Amino acid sequence: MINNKGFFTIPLVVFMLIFIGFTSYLFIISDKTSNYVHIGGTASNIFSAYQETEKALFFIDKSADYSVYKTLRNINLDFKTNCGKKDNYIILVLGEQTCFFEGDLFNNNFNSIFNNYLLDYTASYDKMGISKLAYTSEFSDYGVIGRSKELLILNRSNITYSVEPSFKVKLDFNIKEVFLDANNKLKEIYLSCKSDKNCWEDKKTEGIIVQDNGKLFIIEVDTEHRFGLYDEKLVLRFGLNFETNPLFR
Amino acid sequence: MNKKGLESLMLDPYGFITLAILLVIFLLLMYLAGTVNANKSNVDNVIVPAEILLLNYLRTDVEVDLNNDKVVESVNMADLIVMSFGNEDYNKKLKDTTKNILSKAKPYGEWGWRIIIKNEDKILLNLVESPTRGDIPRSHKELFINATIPSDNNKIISIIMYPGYL
Repeated sequence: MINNKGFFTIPLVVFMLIFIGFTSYLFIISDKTSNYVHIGGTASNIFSAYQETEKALFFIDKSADYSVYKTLRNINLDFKTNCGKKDNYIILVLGEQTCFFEGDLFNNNFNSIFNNYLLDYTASYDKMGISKLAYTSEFSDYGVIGRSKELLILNRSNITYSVEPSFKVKLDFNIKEVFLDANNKLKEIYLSCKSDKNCWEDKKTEGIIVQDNGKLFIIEVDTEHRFGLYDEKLVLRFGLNFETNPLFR
Repeated sequence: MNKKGLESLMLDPYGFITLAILLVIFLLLMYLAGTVNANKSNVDNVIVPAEILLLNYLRTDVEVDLNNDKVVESVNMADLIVMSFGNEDYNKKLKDTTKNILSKAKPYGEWGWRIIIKNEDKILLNLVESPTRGDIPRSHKELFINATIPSDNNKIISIIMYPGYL
């Protein structure tokens, strides 16, 4: 007897449909990916992390530039000594107390003010945590070099990319030397003149202007150095406050 | 001669139709599985070499007379962009230098780079070479490269670069 039913029976077809449908569904919802997209995936992620970090480092570079310029622009306003603070000049003498700068005091003032300004800039960069970094500064004849105390870390898929951010802000002078030179010159004159106005007028050198404001001397030092995008002059202003000095004449 | 195979198909048209439908469904499911999984790539990022071009553009040194004292100083393009936001006198220098740099780095054949420089308030430069014969689709977002820089008055400046048909 010839079997006319053929190979396909309805239950078999239904079973095969269900089986193929189910396996295809599992394949679609699985996380398994096509083999070809795996090739170069790690390299791509490394390169991408590198590019993103480079952008962040460039942002830090520019932020550091503008923060150093801002620190220099506001140096007379922001620098503080133990003799207090008055308007936009740095008080070096209060009565008989002297507060002339040493290297450490300069470093502390500069780093603190610079990092505050830098934070203002880097806080607006939202892609990586660059605003969490603080920098210590070194001063050279070519500008300011900053190094972060912490690593900048970027995690991307299975890649962890870390870098120690640093920057170099170009200046034509050593800001620390220029500042301390001016400070030391005033200290030298102060030690021989104290509050004698005529003595100050005699001993002052070129670039120093002494303004007599009663018991307050305001001394302006033109460093003849320029900085920043707008070629600003660096002028330092110091105050000698003799108000509480009984020897003031 | 054994003709059973052919005969059985002819004798069982329902089975044959079912087989054809089954094959179509199977192919359809395989196609769908391929397209869906193609999007489930573990590659998060497409490598865009032009990202480096954009950073190099921003780092390129350019000579500018900063305070009209006839002495030229060296700043980089990022600085020139910042200065141009504050002083329109620098705009021409920015435009010319940008054109000069980007014209030497054409991405693909006749395509050139378009660049938009803007901050939160205004568009400073929208350098689109003309006449244009079409843009790349906006859906190809990997071809849009952007970088941000701060300005000295602490406003974020965005630089967006993308290829366009010249």
